[in-house]
Amino acid sequence: MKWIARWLGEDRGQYAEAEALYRRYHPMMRRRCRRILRDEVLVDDAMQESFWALCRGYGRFQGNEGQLMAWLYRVTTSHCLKVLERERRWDRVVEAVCEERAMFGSDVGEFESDVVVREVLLKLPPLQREAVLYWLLDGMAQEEIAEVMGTTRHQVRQWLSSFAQKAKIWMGLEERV
Amino acid sequence: MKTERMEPPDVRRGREQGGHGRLSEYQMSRYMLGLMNEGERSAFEVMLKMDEAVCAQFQRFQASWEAERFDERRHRMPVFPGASSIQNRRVWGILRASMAVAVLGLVLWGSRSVFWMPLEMGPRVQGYLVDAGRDLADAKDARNTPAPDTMRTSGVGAAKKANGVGAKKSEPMRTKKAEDVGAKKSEPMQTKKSEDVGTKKIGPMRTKGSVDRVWASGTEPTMVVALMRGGKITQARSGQHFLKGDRLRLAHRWERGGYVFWVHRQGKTVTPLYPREGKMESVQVVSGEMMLLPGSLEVSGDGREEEWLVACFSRRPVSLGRLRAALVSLPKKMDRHALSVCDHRLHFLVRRE
Repeated sequence: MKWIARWLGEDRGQYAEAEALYRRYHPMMRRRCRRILRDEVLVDDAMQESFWALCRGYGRFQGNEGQLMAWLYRVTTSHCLKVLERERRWDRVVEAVCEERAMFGSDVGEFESDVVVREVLLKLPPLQREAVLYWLLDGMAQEEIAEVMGTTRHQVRQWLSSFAQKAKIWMGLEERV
Repeated sequence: MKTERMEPPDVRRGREQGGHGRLSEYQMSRYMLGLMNEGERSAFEVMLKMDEAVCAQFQRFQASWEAERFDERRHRMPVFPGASSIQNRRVWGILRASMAVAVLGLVLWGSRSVFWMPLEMGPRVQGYLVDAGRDLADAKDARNTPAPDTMRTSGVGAAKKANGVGAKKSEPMRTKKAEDVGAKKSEPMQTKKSEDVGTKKIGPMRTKGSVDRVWASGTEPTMVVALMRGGKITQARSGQHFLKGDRLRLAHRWERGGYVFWVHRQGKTVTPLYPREGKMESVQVVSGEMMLLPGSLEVSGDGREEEWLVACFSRRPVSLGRLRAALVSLPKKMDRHALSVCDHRLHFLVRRE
């Protein structure tokens, strides 16, 4: 592991800390990856990238452990989405969202079709797409999404309402202005 | 702000929706990692007790959390950036495609050298064939096969060995003189000129073009004879004059596939070249593949008359007897029958200086 630390330009102590964090947060990160990606190979891939993001960013991270967890949560999600983007496997997320909806009958129920979710998701900008996924897939509240994404609740509300409006337009429930 | 945090947002939302709320994975992870403060934790636990659905959800989460704990036996620490990307199917796909392109390029670029590689090992291959010749199954056929006078092949040498006609067994092929090898039998060879034989009975001789043009041709079989002289390798032409010590390497290709029998013909003497042993029947041609015959032919001594290398391509296996009958002059009745043996016959004229 020494050469890795040297390669990173950091001291071995920092790498050891990152390794300890990886072990601690491993269940959360792996569950997260598995939920989104649904493929062990892709999960390994995303875990690898997330770990290196942790190694690189841990030294510069300023905050308590709660914020660290939120940051890791977001980093893992971002890498999963990158992998999906690369693999062109957005259908996996849509599947996950639909399963979630079937299990809990949550507020995603207003979208009648899985196709709507998929089509609208694909057209969103990356940040908004991420926020929508937190809302649809994880059932997170706006406050939590804002905490994880490091933004304001107002911004999250805007993203979500914009998504809902686009979905309705797409479904023909509202006229395009 | 503090009061909002007292109850997890999802729990609150769940209550607002009539008690069918759910816990977000984020909240459950915070609970499992012990990152909730006292108020949040107590509210969370109250929610678990109040709502059975939420409790069941959390229990499932807890079980999977335990299953995902880092275990040295199941998980491994990441080694270097992008290491697991190698497992990625797309990366594998790219690697496979690159390897295929590289192999194809090598084959195309180095086809000449690949073609010639076995020729450099001529003596070794010949030696092997001589050894294999001891186990000739069809000794009768071999016995009836007189050796060509001045042109000698490793297979012929093997046949001679099997019949005890030739020189000592341990004598290397290269040092064996042609005169020693059944010179008597080949003495009464026809003095008929090869042109007469070729035009009337064998049919028109097919001249061979460049290797590329020949191999690129359609469904008709093709034969290629390569010449190695003084370490230099060229493509031999039918009717070319060969010197003592020249080596010839034979190859054929047939898009359609079938069977082939290579023989050496000098006058009425027909000597099998390939196959040289076993049942003395045509061997199979793999469709669309260039086949290099094992070993090489070595030109030795002076030739008194022209010789032919004949490749008989057929849809069914042909025996040496039938082929010989088809090649040498026979009574008309038999001749008509014998000529139908080969679907394609290719001839290569060998002249010696």
